[in-house]
Amino acid sequence: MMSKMRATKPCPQFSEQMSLAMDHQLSAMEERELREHLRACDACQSQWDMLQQIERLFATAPLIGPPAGFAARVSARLAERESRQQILFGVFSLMVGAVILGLVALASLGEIVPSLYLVVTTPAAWRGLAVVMELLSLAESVLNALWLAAVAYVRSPGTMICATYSFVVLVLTALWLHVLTSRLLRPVPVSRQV
Amino acid sequence: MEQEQVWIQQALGGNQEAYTRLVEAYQTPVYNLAYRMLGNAQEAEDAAQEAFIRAYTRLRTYDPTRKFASWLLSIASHYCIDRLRRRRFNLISLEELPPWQGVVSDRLQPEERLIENQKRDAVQALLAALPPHYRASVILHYWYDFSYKEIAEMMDLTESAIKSRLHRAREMLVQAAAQADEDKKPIVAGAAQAVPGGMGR
Repeated sequence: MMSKMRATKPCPQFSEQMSLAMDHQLSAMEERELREHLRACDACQSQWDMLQQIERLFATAPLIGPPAGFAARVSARLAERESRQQILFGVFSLMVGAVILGLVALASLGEIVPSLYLVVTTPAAWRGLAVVMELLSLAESVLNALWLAAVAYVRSPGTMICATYSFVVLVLTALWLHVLTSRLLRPVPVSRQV
Repeated sequence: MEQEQVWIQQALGGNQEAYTRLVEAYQTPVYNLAYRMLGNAQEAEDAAQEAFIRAYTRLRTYDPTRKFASWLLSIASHYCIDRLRRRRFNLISLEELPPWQGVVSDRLQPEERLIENQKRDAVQALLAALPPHYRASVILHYWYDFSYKEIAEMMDLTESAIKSRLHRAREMLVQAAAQADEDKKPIVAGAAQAVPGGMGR
């Protein structure tokens, strides 16, 4: 007869054996060894008893089912998820389309840029540009001079008298030219020539 | 089993009605796993739904030579483990979670319901003492009778790792029960009175 051991903690070498015994994984000899040890060791026997109680508690705890309508709720969630994915797919497709268009535009630019480079690197192009700039500058000066003359004319005190006099002179000159040209250009009748 | 394969093939072809049949067939095992893992009815409902949706989107990866239940429960347990880890990062304690509700049948008599509640609380108090991976191994072993090999395949671990985890988990369960006894709030003793004798399933 073995004397009882007074250990407070279960023996490590038998702790794993107890777990394997719960799952019927020990050989007959190992089981016998464990049984003998349990009879001799209070701490291991106490652990074994507790393991048995927990085993019984778990073994009799039922499978818990969901509240009614679970399958319908899963279907609804699945449908919602799929519709959201379709929207995301649509947005993604649009973005891919936009990226492709951008790449096509970049490719076109790739063809234009070399031609532009050739023009820019020609000396004649720069000289032509200088001439155009000078002409523009000249046109700007002429327009400025005309603008200043017009402003000075409008702001002078006798503008109305001068304008009326000029208008009358122009009208009288036009009438005189009209009379003169009509007499000079009038055709001579045939009978009088004879 | 043949009917199950027909539903799987139909679901792969885009037939959601067939997938609903699969959900109806496996809703209890999946919900039970989520409930035992998370210890809360609302979270269990959400996690079980999410597990079925993940399974639907990965249905093409299912190998018909494996048991559909193992494949489905593997998805559910991985999802619950991730959820428990996130919960830890979000610093949500068990006390902050909503109370137990809606899982004990209303058809039971008041006394039976009280016993069921005691047992359910005892089981969940013990499971709550385990880290997520250990908890999943224990649940798959006790509630679904999966072998070490099957659990190892489901958890992407070796058989010896599962053996070791179950051993460590049992030690932790005993420690939790002993601690509760010391605190004069016995977990197992009270519930065990309601449990009939006999070993295992």
